[in-house]
Amino acid sequence: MSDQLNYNMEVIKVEKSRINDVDFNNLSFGKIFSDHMLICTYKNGAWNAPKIVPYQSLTLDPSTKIFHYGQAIFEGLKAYKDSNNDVFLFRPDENCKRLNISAKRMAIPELPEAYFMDGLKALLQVDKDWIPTQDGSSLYVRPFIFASGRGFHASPSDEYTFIIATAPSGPYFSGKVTVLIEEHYSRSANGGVGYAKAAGNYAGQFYPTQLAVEKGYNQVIWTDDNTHEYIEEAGAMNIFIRINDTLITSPTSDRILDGVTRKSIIDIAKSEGIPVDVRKITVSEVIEAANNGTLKEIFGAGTAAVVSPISGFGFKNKDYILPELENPYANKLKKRITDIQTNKAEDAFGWRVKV
Amino acid sequence: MKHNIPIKRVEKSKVEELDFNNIPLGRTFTDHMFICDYENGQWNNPRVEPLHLIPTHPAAMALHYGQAIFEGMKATVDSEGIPMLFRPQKNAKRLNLSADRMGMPHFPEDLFVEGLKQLVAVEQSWIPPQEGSALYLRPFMYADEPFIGMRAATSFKFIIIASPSGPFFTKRIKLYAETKYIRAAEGGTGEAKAAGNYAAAIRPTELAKAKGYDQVLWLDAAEHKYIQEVGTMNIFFKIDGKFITPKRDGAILDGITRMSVIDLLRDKGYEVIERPITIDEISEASKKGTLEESFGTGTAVGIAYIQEIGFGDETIHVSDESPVGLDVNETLNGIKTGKIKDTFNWMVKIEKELA
Ligand SMILES: Cc1ncc(COP(=O)(O)O)c(C=O)c1O
Ligand SMILES: Cc1ncc(COP(=O)(O)O)c(C=O)c1O
Repeated sequence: MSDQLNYNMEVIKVEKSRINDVDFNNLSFGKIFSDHMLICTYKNGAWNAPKIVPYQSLTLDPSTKIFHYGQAIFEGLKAYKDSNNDVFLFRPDENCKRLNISAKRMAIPELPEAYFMDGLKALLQVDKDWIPTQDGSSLYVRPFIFASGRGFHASPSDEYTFIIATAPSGPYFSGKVTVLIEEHYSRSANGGVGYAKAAGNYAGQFYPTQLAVEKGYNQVIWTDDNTHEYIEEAGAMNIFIRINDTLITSPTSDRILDGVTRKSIIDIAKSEGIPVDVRKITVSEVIEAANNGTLKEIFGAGTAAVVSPISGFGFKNKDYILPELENPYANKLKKRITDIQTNKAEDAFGWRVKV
Repeated sequence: MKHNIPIKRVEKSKVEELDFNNIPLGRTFTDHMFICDYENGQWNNPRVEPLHLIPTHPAAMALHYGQAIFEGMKATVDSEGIPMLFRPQKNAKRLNLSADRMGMPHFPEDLFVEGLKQLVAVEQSWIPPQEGSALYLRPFMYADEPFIGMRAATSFKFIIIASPSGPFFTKRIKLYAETKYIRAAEGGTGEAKAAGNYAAAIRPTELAKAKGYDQVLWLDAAEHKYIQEVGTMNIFFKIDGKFITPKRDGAILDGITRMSVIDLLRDKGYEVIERPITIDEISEASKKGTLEESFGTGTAVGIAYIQEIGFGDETIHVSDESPVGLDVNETLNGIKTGKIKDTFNWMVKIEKELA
């Protein structure tokens, strides 16, 4: 796709920043939004050049297709600021590529790469002061596209809107994370849209997750729709399982999101000399390992939660507790990835992008 | 319970601008909308207002996670011009079934029906009188809470908008039996009228259209063997004098036209069996000459007569005529326009004076 744009895009700034209203030492996740947003619309068969405007309400007609048919996709990444006030992104090109993979499956026109990358960089320059520097905090970046055309037909829309909103955010989870391995509901199936960051995949998880929360768990771990035998992923994290010294994670598929954190963790683990096995893993294998003491760790990996150790899981009305290790892989891997992300360590993989 | 639904009217109706003999498909909307807000655990402030744009926060959860559901139904007039609804309580119930699966609050069923009646009463001049024409009504609910974390929202809007729709011409349709993509899996959201289900179907439907078909015939997710439904219709087959339709399995939509057609067919003396049906069985019946006819049923089109089904390299010829389908369609339309006695008590009349 075209690569023409540079940073000279139209910028309309706020008259007065809201930044002084924000307590950066007590940030929750995804509730406060920075002063500006990037916006770009698709009309008459083409994406128009993006603009930066004050963060503001959209005005949508009730017949706007997004409200009816959920034709929308999104991405999630983070911006970090180091002690020199330099701003960094982590593998943003991967998010841009994945946005267009999602776009294709959801019949949304692909977005020119430059609109995403240059738009994002320009936005971060304008709202640089909104990037938190506190440990565990960052600026969560949410690019998304939705069907903004009107009409009562579940057919491709004639208009779409691309927006990047940013939210200074604290840690995603606080405290120990427990999960329920799902045996009834399913997130996705072969031939479906599980590998896309399609809006509807997420709403579909809310109710099963609510049921798990009512039972005392934080999250659901999804299993395959057909047999509920194979471990797939969590709501917004890919899953790693350590049996003895080997780290196992499911291969990506039609049903599983190709997480940027996941593939980065695989590379980091290998560079640390940790054996990594990308293969299908059954629930019964995990239960057996839990019973014979070879199950050492389970953790989730995703942009929002980074690396999130799981302290226990439930399956068929039985709870299993993970051991508390002295030096778990999760801690080591989390430190390695966040040090790269925040420019505290050398970036041997070439993942960091300075803005 | 009687609800107080205040009405704020437009100064001048746009109905004079509409050519009732030439209604553009799903693009014309009436003057008013019904709207109600959910906040702090309850539905507040139901009202009828001029149709207007809705200020929507860019982080409104429906835009990101597709937490949205909808209904579809029609208002018709009888020969005396009395507006009527077709089985609106069924839509009210189904909306709440969808709400359950999608982690959304129930909308009170009596308020749903009353809101519809009130809106239709205000918009009665918009109901096209021609047989087969109707005022299409679109109740929908979506998450408008500005939050980009993964959980069910806590604030929602429920809206009904209306669009006059002309008679669908009854072209015989060709279906494409899809063996790669799927609509819904067991344990998923297929039984809900959830927005995301429709977005996921857009690309496969476009691909089928590019191959010369009108609609996709969805098969089950696990084996691509069992027939589920078509686009926005359920499906019936007549084999050897008997009707069969796929049994509800949690993945197909419980169509209100479907349940009504089952009653009508039985009333006309046909046997109707709900059971799993394989595509192979249909193919064999076609070859043996026992496949007599097949049709789709749904609010939008009523009855759609099926000519053939593409399945892999094979073309399954269904039939060149659909005498029973035609008869059922006439009966349904007759009931909806008061020309045939409503022995099932399906029609709900709206007092003209309500407005
Ligand atoms: C379903 C799902 N799995 C996994 C992930 C993790 O992907 P990433 O590491 O790219 O954030 C996400 C995204 O947040 C997701 O939505
Ligand atoms: C997927 C799907 N199947 C079937 C139908 C038919 O349902 P109804 O007869 O209630 O319109 C619809 C709705 O229109 C639908 O969206």
